[in-house]
Amino acid sequence: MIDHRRNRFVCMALGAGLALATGGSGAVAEGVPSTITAESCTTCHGPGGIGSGAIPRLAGEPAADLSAALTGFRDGTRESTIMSRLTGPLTDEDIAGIADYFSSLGAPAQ
Amino acid sequence: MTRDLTRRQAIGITGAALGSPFLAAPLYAQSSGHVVVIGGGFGGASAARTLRRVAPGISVTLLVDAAEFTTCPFSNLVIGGLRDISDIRFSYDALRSEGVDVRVDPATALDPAAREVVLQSGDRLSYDRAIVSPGIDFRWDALPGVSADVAETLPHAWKAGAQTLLLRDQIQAMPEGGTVIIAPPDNPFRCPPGPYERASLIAHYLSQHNPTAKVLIVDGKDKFSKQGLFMAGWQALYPGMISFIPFAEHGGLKEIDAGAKRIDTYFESFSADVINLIPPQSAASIALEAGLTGTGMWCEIDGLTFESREAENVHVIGDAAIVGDMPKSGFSAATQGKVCAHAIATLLAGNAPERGYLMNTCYSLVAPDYGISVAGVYQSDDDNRLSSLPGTGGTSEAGDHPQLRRDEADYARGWYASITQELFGA
Repeated sequence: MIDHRRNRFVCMALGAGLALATGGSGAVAEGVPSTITAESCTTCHGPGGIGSGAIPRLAGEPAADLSAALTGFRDGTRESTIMSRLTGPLTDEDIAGIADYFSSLGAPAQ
Repeated sequence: MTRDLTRRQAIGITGAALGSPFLAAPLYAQSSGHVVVIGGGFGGASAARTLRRVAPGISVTLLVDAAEFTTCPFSNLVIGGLRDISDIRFSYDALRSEGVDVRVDPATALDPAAREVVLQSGDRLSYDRAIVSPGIDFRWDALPGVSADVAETLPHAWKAGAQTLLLRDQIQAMPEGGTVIIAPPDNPFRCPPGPYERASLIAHYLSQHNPTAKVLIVDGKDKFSKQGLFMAGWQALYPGMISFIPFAEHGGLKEIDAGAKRIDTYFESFSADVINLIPPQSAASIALEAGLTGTGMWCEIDGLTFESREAENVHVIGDAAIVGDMPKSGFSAATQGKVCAHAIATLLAGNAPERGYLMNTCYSLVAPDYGISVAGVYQSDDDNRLSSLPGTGGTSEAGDHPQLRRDEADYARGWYASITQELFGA
């Protein structure tokens, strides 16, 4: 499943261009934009990923750490309560996009 | 065009605003128009606030029923005496400060052909796009011999507020060794695990204050959400206190005697001191009356944009809609509100909507330090139906895992703080 989704990121920029060019009804932009996925993440991880109680902060964390965590949850190599149930469909490109997105949202609280 | 479609663009946009924990640059700077949002719950507040955040060129009017919103999530903690009602009540001040035109003037009618909403005051508002998030109404006619006023005696507590307090007070005033009946409806209904979390937290209260009392679930169905996890928790924490009577064992409600606090089913009669009668439900009446439910009782939508299958320029989110495989939860409604806001901002800029992932997580507390969950990831398929993605989701691991239960209870509280902060917080 992951493999056949792997090309989607590559299609993303192209697909967006095509969608914008046609701009009409029925057209759908390809790819999974990290801004949309992030809207689900922040429901638990706090507005902008600032964390909430026992739920960890994402904003401003190093992208490599966020990527490693998400990859570990997806591949079952990292223990979790719930994250392994939420990361199954993510491609490597999805994970990189989400990690960069939250990493860029400001430095973590000291 | 500043839509975030690539990593490079995402870094460019957000990097410019380094230091802010929030998305600082609008994603849809060219979008404009007027969006009217009907309903100020998890779906409506989420959609309204997200629209202002990602597309400040769009003006947003949010029509709400009351100056404050009382959340159904965590209302079971109020019923169980674990939180005060003021802890689950939120104002719309933060939305106002971000430019949402919040009006305590509920919509009474929607005219999709004229693209107009009629308000209780008689005012009429025109819109470019409407977001309908009115929640549910009760189907009193689906219960034998009762009308809406039965809730004054047999509270539903399925819309939070005065009903929540009525049920709490009845439970606290119950005689020693008394019985509480919870009567949940058949599917579909708002918050599938809700009645069973409620049974749990009532049992938690009773185990401390009225330990010989009983909780009886006289159910309109045979199976329920997270059933194995709930029942294992009841066995461990409240042995013998909670009984589940599936539909097949009672055959359905035949007569309800509110004065005598008695429910007659086709096979058996049940008497109690407190009856929590949760009626069958439909999309709220404004959706039915506007024709958004077609010939059914729920609103069919396009899973990509949440646009109604029955009316153009009208989007339906939250409990009133059938959203593919997504459950009727506050989390789902909030996620749908956010993604619907992106879709509308995209459409109002003349662009094509995007096929994102949508997630849901429902935590339930079996006790204050004992949490369980169900989760799912959804994406609209080729027919634009939001389908559960294979290999994702499911419930917490079964078995004896005390640390996992404690962690999930902590995460439940973290989730509630997060979602209410995101929707209503300053």
